[in-house]
Amino acid sequence: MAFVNLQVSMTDLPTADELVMEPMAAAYEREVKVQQLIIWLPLLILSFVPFLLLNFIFLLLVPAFLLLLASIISRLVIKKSQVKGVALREFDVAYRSGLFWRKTVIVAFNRVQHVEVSSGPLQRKFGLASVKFFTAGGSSVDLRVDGLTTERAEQMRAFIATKIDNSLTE
Amino acid sequence: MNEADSSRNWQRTSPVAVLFFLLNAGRKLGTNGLPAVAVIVAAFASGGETRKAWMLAGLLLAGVISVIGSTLAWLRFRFCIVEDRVLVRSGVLHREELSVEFGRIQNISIREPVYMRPFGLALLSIDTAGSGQKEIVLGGIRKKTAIELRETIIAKSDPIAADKVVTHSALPDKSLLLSRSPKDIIIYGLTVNFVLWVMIAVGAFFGTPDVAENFFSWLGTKVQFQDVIAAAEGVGGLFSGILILIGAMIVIFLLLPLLSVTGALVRHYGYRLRVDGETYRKNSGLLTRHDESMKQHKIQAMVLKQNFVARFFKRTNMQLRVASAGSGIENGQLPTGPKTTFLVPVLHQYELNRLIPEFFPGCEFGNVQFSRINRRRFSSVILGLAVLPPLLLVTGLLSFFISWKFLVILPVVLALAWSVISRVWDKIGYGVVGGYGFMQRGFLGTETTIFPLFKVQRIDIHQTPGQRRKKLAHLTIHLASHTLKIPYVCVHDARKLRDLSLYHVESSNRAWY
Repeated sequence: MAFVNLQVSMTDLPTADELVMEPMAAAYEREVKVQQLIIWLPLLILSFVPFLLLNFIFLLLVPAFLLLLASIISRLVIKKSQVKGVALREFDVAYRSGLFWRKTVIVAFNRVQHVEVSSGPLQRKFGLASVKFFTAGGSSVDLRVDGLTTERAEQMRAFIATKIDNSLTE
Repeated sequence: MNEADSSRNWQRTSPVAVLFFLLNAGRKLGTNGLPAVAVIVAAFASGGETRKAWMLAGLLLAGVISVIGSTLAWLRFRFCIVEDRVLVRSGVLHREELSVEFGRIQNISIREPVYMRPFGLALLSIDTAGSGQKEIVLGGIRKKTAIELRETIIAKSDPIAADKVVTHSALPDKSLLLSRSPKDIIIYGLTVNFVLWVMIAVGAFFGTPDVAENFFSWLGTKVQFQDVIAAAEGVGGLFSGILILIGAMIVIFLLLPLLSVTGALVRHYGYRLRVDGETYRKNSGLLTRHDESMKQHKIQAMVLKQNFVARFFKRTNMQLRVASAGSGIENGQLPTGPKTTFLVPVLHQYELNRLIPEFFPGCEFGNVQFSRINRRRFSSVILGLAVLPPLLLVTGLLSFFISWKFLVILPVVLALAWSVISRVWDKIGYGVVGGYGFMQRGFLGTETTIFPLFKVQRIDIHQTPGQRRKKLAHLTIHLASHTLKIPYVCVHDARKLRDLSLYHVESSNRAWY
């Protein structure tokens, strides 16, 4: 790429690639598993209904197929939760997600408008919370970090709140 | 609260504002209840005498109600300026109080609609940034008050620039940056993308209070419609039908530029751009005078547009974009609303060279070397995913069911698609010079976006499995004004651009808004 009139040498620039992404809380994986169970279990039970009603043996293929589908999808979803990672730096937060389509989002603290910590019923059961970052650009929620322990989410929010304040007073 | 109230100087707008509220209500009805209106009109036309009488009575009643409602709305509408903010109280049934800090204000514009001119009144609209904020419109205040108010707000929103603003009053001509002659404006009318222009006209009709533009666009659609319908009714038969259709198309194609030019003249006649310290101010308009101002540090991005018509005239249109509350529009598409863009129309190359550093100090547009995106990947993905499947399906079906000769389509369309894609690829470029980022794209024309790196809000890097292997990525740059996407960039470049932007964002103490 053609960089002319650079103010800093490219090689000296702090790069975000060498970041060590911290994986999500251990409880997050459990939460995702329970989530998958909640989604698939009722469907599985329902899929037995045709067999029970009509009593054709080949109708058992329906639940069998669904089980296969469920196991593949939930395995992928769980895998996806494992590759998620977040890294806090002094001036920004980086979040990596996606199993196949990998996405890295970096938000600088002095562009954050506000931060929101939220936790649903299931998340609360596992002591988890999500942190949402809002900036002025693009879509409504700019960065949503799932699977943090409530404690860490609060820590993160407090840390970022001080950063935002600092950048505003300057 | 009452104590504070008595010390505050709550003001009403002029009674003429009743008209303003009435027009607003009418427009809202037009936007939300158009089908209902159509049904009522149809019922009216088909009904008997008694029904007509009833409906007329109803109409009269509705008219009276809306006049009363508008009067109440006017009575309830009060505003007040405290040290650092504007307060507005409004609403008849649903009451609300808005408070906007001067510092948060993005854009102030003064308009003088036709019906307010005889009374020396104006309309001051204040646009703010931030989530959930609304635009404040003070309709029907004295023009002098409006101008004073703007001066106060501009002065107070930036204490350093305060003394500069007060001194200008007479606006010396050396502050004049640019003026456009009617000829320039006519060229502008021609260079505006026709489709886009119609869209803006429709948008203006439904969104912004621009009576003149609305009228002309409305007239346009009216005339075409009636032409087509009358002609079609007059003659029957397929052949003459087609002829009429072609004729109508020609009329539309001739009418559109005319319409576009008329609209441009109405909106931008007598365009003058002035600079005053850090504030830019433009004046324009034939019927409704528009007076818009914007601060330099509010500019989030500059978009230079040159479509094929503009290229023929060797002109470029410049749009300065500021942050907008509802800018969640993806893909770098329109926020073309008049509030989020500040137009500097039909610039010659030398004017461009003079004005770019004016708005973006230290921006060396001439020195930018655009880097290319990966051609093979870009072309093959578009061809393979977007062009080939439907093409194969159509030619397959045609040749299978009708004649094998339809296979000829295949190479022709492929060659055509290939040349189009190559052209698009050729136009996409990105680069960095100093503290500014550049992105270019286009097909027949060119659209270049320039943005200060330190104003970037967020950068995403997206990689598909295939891209990971080829070391490519999609880069998405979110600005407060709009979003830019660069596909199939070398992943190292994407990271460099990201790290460089982050460096500028994080090392700069300047506020982005």
